[in-house]
Amino acid sequence: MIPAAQVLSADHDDTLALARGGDATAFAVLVRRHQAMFFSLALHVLRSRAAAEDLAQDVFLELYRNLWNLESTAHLVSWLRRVTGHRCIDELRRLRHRWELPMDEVPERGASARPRDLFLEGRLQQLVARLPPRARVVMVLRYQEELEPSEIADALQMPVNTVKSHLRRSLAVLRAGLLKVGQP
Amino acid sequence: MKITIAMWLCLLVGPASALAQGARLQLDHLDRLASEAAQSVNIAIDPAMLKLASAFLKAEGEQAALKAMLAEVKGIYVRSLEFERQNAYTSDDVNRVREQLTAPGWARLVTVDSKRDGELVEIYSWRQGTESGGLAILVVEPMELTVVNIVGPLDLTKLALLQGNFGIPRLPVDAPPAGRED
Amino acid sequence: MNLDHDLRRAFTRKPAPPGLAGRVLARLEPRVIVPAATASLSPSPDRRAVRWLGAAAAIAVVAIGGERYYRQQETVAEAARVQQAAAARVQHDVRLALQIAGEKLAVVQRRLQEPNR
Repeated sequence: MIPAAQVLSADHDDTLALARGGDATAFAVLVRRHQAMFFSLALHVLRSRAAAEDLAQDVFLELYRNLWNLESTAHLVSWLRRVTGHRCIDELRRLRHRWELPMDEVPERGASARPRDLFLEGRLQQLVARLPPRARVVMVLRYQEELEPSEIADALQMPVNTVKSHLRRSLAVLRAGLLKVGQP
Repeated sequence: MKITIAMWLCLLVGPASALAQGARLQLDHLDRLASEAAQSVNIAIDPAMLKLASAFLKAEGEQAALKAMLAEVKGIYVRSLEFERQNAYTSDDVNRVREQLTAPGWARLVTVDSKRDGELVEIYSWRQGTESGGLAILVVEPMELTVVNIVGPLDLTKLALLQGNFGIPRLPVDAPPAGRED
Repeated sequence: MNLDHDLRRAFTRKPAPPGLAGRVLARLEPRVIVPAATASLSPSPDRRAVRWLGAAAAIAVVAIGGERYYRQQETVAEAARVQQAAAARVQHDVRLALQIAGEKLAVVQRRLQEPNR
């Protein structure tokens, strides 16, 4: 049994190797390292903490079951993006009627942000929430994870041109939506 | 020239890879059907996961029977797809499973082919010498495709020990080694 | 207005709630989350000695680096919960696989027993 301290201080690939060897502590460390990414991705897409936690639960256990197929930390991250992205799309399709949720579903933590920014950020989140499932996940991967279109295409297993088209159309929708603010 | 080399490679590598594969069937090609299925089950349990599951089972009652079985099993792989319409899968999807079951080591134990219901069930056993090394159940119905693949020294006789649990019936353990068909 | 910049701000990563993994797993498999080793601690002399040694060790560790020790213990406990939950999940899958196999074998049995065979 490898001491927890050693696991905590090991670099990422060592931790993955330890987790693949059945070390549950190493697995827990892996989860903690990456949970912000996949929880946040689900939260931004689904706009519900409960739904994001449910989805995290599935991704979490599926990760454990697939550790033996993951060869490196980069592979693990790309696997998490792909699985989380696809599950978000599936969940949105399943809960089609709940696409638009009230803004208070996503509490803002940035207390230092100015009120005007909060309003704009909230409006942008609301507009993104009205996009179709795939477009919504593309937007969150682009702006939360700052992925390039080719990386998004890889994560969601869709052509790069489709990703670019989603981004282009979504940005146009957002611009139009923002212009409507303040109009009677 | 390139074609000749490729042919020789196929002849040399083909049988070797079939042997290396052993009783484990490759079912990944069926994953694409999951999105079209009304219900799908995808189970892939490897040796490490079996060890983990076994470690948390009690040595009494139904759990003891399961624990004893898991001690011998090296992997459990299931793809079960139920569709809302016919022809959702192709004959190629089925043939890619069947081709693997023609590899050395596999022998068909039972075939139930009901033309009336369009239902085909085949049971295969994998043997290495005299030792049993795995089991495969292939079910082909108009709106269902199921493959169960259990890797390890588990034959129908041992599976019969679990009868009464998990919906396992009294099994045709005396079935002849060759196929029987309607 | 810089839309790219505003979108990045609107979609910054949110921190996962503390103990998310543990809570999620507890909700999924409440039966497998049991307090560790509560039943096995009987007050034998050996146990008492072990307890004193453990307490001394814990005080020493806390003195050296309390927060880090706490975090590691929390991680180890969480790891145990993860392992138990994963085991429960695999057991569920094994049972499901056997059920499916059982159903299909029942079909074979039924057909083989049909009188016109």
